[in-house]
Amino acid sequence: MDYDIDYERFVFHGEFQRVQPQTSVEPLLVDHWVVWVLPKQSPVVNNIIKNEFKDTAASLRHLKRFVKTQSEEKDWLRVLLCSCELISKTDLENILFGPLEKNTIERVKIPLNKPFDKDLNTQWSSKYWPIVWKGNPMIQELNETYKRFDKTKITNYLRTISNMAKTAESLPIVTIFVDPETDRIMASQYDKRGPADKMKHSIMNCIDQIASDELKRRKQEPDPSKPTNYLCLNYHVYTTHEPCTMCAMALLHSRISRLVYLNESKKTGAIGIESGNGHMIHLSCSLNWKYESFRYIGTDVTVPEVGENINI
Amino acid sequence: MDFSSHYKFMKEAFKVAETALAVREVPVGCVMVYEDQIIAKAFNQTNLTLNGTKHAEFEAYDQIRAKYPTSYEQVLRKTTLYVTVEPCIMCASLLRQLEIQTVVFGCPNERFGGNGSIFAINKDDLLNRPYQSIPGVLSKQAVMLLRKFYLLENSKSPASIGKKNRRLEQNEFPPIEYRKYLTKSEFESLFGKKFGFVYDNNLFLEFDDDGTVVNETPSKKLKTR
Repeated sequence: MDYDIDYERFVFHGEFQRVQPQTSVEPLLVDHWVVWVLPKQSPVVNNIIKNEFKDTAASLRHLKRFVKTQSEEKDWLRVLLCSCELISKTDLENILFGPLEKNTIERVKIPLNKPFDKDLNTQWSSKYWPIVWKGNPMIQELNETYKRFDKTKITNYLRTISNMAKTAESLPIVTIFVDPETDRIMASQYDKRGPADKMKHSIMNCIDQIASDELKRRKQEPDPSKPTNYLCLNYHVYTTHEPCTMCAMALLHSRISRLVYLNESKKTGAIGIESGNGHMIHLSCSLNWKYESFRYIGTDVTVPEVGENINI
Repeated sequence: MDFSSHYKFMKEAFKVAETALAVREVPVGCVMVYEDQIIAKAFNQTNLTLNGTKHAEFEAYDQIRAKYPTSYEQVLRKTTLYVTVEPCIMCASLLRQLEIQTVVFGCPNERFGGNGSIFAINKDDLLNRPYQSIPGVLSKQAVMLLRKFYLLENSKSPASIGKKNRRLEQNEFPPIEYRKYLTKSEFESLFGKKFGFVYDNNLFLEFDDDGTVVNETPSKKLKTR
């Protein structure tokens, strides 16, 4: 399978930008102790690492422990031990020299974060310390997401809301909620704000519709199996304009899995990296729930702009 | 406003929250106060309505619209919300768009709080007027009420039958980091300069029955011991 993904800008098919923070390209450097040993002593130093420094295994997993080198026409191993904050040089010498012959201890800057691409991996490896390349976790996540991303279906849903918006009686703002399991549109709403209620944003209207439909259904045919109260669990939401903080958070409370929007709302939006106050609400309470968000950056599907100060 | 009336109205919010327990809703309650009168009382109704957005604040907003169909916007601009738990990010944004005057809350909302715990939506750089949010009025009581609810619900769930019942924890409470919600000068202008140590040490505000803050300074406490 060919992946049409721009990994630097997180863009699928050249038209859908996944909204997520940029991965860091700077190494997070921390001083570590490195000891020189002769190759035949490697079992001894391995034992010392197992007994004395086993807590470092997790944080140094991405790094090589032993690095071959040469000095005075002899082969040597440089062995990465632990952070310099963990132990003083004197204490370290007491642990090492006894089982091992006395030798050089150096202080080396080690990157604690993983580089996100292979070139950077090569760069950091030669500059700081050899890093094991096991593929980029972010690339793997993007690939997995891409496999579940049905461009044709998504574009059709975007056309649906675009057409609805163009025939709107007032604000051209539209949202639909889709159950991806059945591919059914479960709610479809315009923005209905007016003098009687200024807060009837289209996303809130959809959530209200789904709740009242289900409440009616349960009254007519009571279900003894106690179904979930998260009615929008894992739903996909398509909306014409990037939502405000209230609506973005309402989607999080409703536990949707994906949001796709057409126009960005630079001033009032709560999803985009640079929108509003930069909260990126879809990722903000990620311990509890998060949803992925895509902004449509293609040109085929369009929707009228609304005033930049309007909360969507 | 004299702080004792804040205390009085928060007590009313607690009465509303307690009624939520009877219908098995998460016990968060609020009252809205306009010109010294309670104009709305509501509790969280997410289970009854099957709608995860029906927090107490939204219910109260609906009541005010029904009561003042043509002037609710002007009314809300001069209204104070008393709510037992810090408004979540969604409600904080609702209140901000409605340009509410002031919010007073009980305990912080550590997972979703929108008045400082996660984000301070009330102070965001936005077009709508910002609002001040005052934390920690009857904080311990708000936490106790939530704990009571979860204990009750867990004891009813089939999974817990046969398990040893957990006891209601009554002594341990997470401290309130006031600086997340207010600056020290804001705090001192609300409660008085002499209570700055409450802010500095993240202590719980203590009130007498009239709603006067009665925290004793640390040095005084040492003398009386």
